[in-house]
Amino acid sequence: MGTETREVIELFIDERSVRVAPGASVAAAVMNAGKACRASVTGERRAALCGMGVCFECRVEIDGVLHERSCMIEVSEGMRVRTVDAG
Amino acid sequence: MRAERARVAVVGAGPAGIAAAVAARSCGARVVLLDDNPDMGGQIWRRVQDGPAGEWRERVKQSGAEIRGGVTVFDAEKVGGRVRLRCDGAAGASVIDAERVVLATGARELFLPFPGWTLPGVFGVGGLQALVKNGLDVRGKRIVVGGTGPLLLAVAAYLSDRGARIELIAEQADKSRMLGFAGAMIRQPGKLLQGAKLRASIIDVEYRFGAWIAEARGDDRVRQVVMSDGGVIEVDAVACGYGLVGNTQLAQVVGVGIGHQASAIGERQEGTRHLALGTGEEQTQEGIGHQASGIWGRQEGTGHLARGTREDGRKSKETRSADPKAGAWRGRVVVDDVMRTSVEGVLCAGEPLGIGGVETSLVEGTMAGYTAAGREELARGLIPRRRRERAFAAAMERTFALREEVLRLARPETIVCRCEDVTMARIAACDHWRGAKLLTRCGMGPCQGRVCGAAVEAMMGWRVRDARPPIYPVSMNALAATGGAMEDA
Ligand SMILES: Cc1cc2nc3c(=O)[nH]c(=O)nc-3n(C[C@H](O)[C@H](O)[C@H](O)COP(=O)(O)OP(=O)(O)OC[C@H]3O[C@@H](n4cnc5c(N)ncnc54)[C@H](O)[C@@H]3O)c2cc1C
Ligand code: FES
Repeated sequence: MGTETREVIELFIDERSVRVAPGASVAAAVMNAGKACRASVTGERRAALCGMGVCFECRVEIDGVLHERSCMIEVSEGMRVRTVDAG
Repeated sequence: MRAERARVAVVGAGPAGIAAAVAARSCGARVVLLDDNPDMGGQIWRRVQDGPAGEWRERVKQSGAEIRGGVTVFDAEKVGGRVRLRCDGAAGASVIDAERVVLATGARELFLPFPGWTLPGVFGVGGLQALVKNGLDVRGKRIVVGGTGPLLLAVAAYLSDRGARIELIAEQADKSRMLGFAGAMIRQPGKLLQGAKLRASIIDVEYRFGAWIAEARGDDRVRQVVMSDGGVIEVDAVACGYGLVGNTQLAQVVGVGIGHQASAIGERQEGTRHLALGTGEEQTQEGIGHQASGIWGRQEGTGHLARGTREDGRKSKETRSADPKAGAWRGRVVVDDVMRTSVEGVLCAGEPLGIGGVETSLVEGTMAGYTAAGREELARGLIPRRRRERAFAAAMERTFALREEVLRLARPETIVCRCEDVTMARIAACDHWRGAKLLTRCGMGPCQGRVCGAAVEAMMGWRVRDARPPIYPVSMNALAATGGAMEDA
């Protein structure tokens, strides 16, 4: 973990540049940016609940891969994240 | 894919798994330690580098065990006298054939559905802590912490330390329940809080007993909570958790026996409960909460103080009979006195045996590691210590037994299964879990019932024990590459 030596990581959440500390989870970055994660099957906005990979509420699209659990994945430089709040 | 061979494979790198790896290595066995998180440490030592966490991290690194993070074990099966683990992760799918496997898969939080619990900003208690440890910013946020157990206090302290404003800590257990075992928590909260190195800010926080979060309200996110007494509190976030449930899925799929009562050792504990508290020689006077051990530090402190104030044995019996089914609905892996399960070659340690906390996990992990490496006699030497730890845990479980009201918070329209958006009304119309799954799809989403199954088990009293491989959703590629079974659902 945290193999990067840089002080901040820049990633893109719904096309907007976001800077976070290395080692942060994608879920933390998403929620710090004021976003929720996914839409439920009936269209409710949902965000992280368990923080530990159990509930699957924090699913987002990461670098084109759908349904990634954002609480289990660390941010990396240039990562592109798409949430339920992408316009 | 060729199967890799290992003498001992340990699943889960929390305290139990780390201790198991260290013990097995100390006997010379080749060990591989697997965890689905990028970093080891499990729930309590997540991101913690100092104190006991740091010492154990160092110990396992020095031990020569091979440590692999980011690896999810999604299936376990007996194949030709060995235990085959099917794994997936960032580094791709893999198969490990081990002579012995230690399941140290830990626990997850129990969530009980209440109106509004699906709003963004409503988190688990441990869940919010984990997210903050991983970078979520809570500075200036108004938070109500509710549910049950010592985790509430620990997490409130942690959040407060990270700059959050804790509006209230609501513990569902009545004050009277805390008497005897944890009376000190009420009588000397200041001492406990001080010992826990909490900042002055949290000492002003109200710790209310017999209170719970009845509803969360909001729009695009949570804005208010309604408490059990009807009071309304403005919030930015809610942390709500009703204790823990062990992760027994992997044990289930490999065919290990699961019981519902505390194990034999747990029963014996009944008689020795206060004795156990009275002989807890490791409990220190001062260090009620060394930073690293978080809640357990407080539990130690509680036990220590409780020794001075506890009621006699008869009283504790009464407390118990007042709630005979305290926690009995929780399924637990059954092991013998050196951590062997009913399946040969499969051992288990820590939270899947019943929620025990970090000290229990460390002792059981060490025992499992010794047994797995063929040094059963070393494991036997730890039986008395384990008994003491389990006695403490059993008393804790009774103290924080769930009250009826919190099991009835969901309204007919409240969503219970968050993956498939199944409401309470639809589940309540069914007769059992299996039927509910078929009729409503509850528990059929990606979490595979880890959230709603445990809730339904607690609320409805149904038996929910139907884990199947793969226990986590995996790609077809990973299934094919590892020769895994396909789920027929
Ligand atoms: C959210 C949460 C927060 C907690 N916070 C505290 C706290 O602050 N203080 C405290 O004393 N206790 C806390 N606890 C209680 C805690 O469970 C114990 O104290 C202690 O961590 C138990 O150690 P363990 O090794 O048995 O399990 P854990 O620490 O839970 O470790 C189990 C590990 O196994 C991994 N795992 C599980 N299944 C698989 C699989 N199939 N494949 C790969 N890896 C797997 C898990 O991701 C985890 O890393 C918390 C529990 C939870 C659920
Ligand atoms: S928050 Fe539950 S899986 Fe990520």
